[in-house]
Amino acid sequence: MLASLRSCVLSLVRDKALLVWALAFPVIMTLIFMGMFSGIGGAYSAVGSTLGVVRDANYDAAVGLDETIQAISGPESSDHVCDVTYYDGAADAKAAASAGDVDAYLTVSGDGMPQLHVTQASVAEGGSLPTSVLSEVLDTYLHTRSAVERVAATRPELLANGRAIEAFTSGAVQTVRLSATKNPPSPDARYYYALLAMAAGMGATAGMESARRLLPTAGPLGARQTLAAVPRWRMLVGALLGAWLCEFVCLLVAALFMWGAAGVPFGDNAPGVVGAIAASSLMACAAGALCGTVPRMETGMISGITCLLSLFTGLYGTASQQLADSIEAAMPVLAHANPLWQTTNCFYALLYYDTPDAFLASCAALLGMALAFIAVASLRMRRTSYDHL
Amino acid sequence: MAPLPQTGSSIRKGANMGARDAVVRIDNLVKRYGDLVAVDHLSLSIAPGEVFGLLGPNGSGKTTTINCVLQLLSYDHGDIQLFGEAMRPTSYQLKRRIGVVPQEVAVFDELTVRENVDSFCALYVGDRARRRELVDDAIAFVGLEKFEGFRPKKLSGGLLRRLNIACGIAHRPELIIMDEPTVAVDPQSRESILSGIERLNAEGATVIYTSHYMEEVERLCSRIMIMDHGRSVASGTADELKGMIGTGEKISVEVGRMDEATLERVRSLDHVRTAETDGGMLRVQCASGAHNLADVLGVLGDAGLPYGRVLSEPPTLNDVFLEITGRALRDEA
Repeated sequence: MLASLRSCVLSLVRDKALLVWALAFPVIMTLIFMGMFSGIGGAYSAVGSTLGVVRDANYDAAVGLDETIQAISGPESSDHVCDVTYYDGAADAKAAASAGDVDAYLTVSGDGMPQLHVTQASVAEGGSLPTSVLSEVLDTYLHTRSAVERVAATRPELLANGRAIEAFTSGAVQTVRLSATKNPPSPDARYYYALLAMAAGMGATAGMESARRLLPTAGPLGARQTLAAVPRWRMLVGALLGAWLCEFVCLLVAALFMWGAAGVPFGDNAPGVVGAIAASSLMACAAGALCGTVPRMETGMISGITCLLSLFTGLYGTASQQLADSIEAAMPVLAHANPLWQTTNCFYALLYYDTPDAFLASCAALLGMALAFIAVASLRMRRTSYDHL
Repeated sequence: MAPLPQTGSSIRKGANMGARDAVVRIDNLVKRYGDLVAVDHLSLSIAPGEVFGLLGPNGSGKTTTINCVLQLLSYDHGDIQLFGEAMRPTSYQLKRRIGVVPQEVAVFDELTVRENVDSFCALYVGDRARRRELVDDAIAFVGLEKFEGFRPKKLSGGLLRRLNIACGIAHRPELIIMDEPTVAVDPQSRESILSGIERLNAEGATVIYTSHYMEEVERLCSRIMIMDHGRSVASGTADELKGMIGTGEKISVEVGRMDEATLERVRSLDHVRTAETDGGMLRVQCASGAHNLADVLGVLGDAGLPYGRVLSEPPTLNDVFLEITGRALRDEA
């Protein structure tokens, strides 16, 4: 077994094909992606929004409103929602909103009711102004002010000093920043994960070549090894381990390059990343070994299958990602049967999910696929007759 | 190379030995590919220390027979025993005692000469220190010491063949099966390979040697089986085979022009089977065991015909094959 492993490793390392597909390919594509996605991060980052405030007599008369606005716009405020620009009149604020200088503006009516004027752009999908948050803030302000007014009408002595009013208004606005994912979303991470999955798929050629060398039907070298005084399964396991070791190291280096050079986030679970790479490379080598036992299977066919499966991991752009998402939503079993999808999902789960369930499920799926491929390959490898010598 | 564990006694007659004594015993082997009978009720027995030659044209069933022996091909009928045991695809202990040098060069292109020999040796010998010695010996045996670090693509055809042999014999097998190891090899490398096989045999190895080169088989083999269309058409030592046919000495004399009367006088000599002229050469075939050169030259002298080059050849295995099958060995099957 060790002899098979050693000769397999030496052959694969010197053959270059594996190095090209499992290492050079993802590294080169990473460099290309770095150029392509250099501006994509900006498209997904939060853009500061500005609220215009008409500071007239009505505004000054609204008790506690200015404190509320300060609370959500102060540069040092922990509840910062937007920046504020003050205007003397509603006309100036409206003109500024029309010109796009502010995303919305606030006026106070004669009866002291604050009114938020929003533009079409600010409420459109993707608009930068958090209008729902502002509406919530103003509702909270009105609710608090109403409560204070009721207290003033019934127990005025409770509001004898300014501290009491401050106590009401200071807690009126409290924002809590929530994140739906464990780590901040990375718009380009999905591409890199799909690229790693594709590189793993391409690396199946290593498993294919290693297994094929043991087949008597594939040529004199296979025939010669068939005559060895070593059980076939041990030779297959040795060759498979050799191929897996080579591919694992190549993918690990590629992932390190992505992380170091392109800043691709992999989360904070380094052992998990290594495990995902190990599982995906084992699956790929096992699949390759199975393909290697099919006499008419060519290396190019593995490349073709890998390219096709990569379509459903979202590697080829937004349309491909939408297709992958729709298939996952409509036919999850089909999506989950794609080993490259499982590979991509391993990394995805490590980055975004709070619990390891999704990661472990994908790893288990990959290992299950690997075992199934190895079992079928072993059965096919039992055939020892051939027509060469 | 140190002697093999087996003694190198040259046993000439293997056909009558018991199954336990024979290194290889094949009984009534039949292998069919559809309607084509590739091996047709073949039986043979090879004694320890023999160099057994399988001689026949391409397609005569030599390689198919070897493949059946090695269980690389299933067969339709018959029994094959190696070292007194039935050979099976999982007979790993038996496989440990066998070395195979395939017809095509079968080595790892990405490994060096030394790594290749070591890789194949490791399929039989687990102990690393022991293997190192064996690999050193095998490389020295085929004379590839200067090329240890070379990869196969850097080697000439002859050196590649030597590497092919080293990979097959490094683990010191008791039975070595060589399937046309000298195909497409230059004369110098061929001589090296043939003398190497002689040394292996002298060190005790039993060798099965298949070839369609009669000169090699005649030189190396203690016993020869001539195959045609999957059947054994004759077997024995080279002399025994030649003794089976009527053809003996072949005489060629450079005569220039020759009249029909003189030619007829040559034909009428005792033991002359045929006499013909061909491009200024008189070619005479004599009956087995007779020497007629003096008589032929006497006829030419009596006729006053000057003659130039004179060549007298004993019969060859090709003559044997030609007489038995009506075809030359190197004809296509």
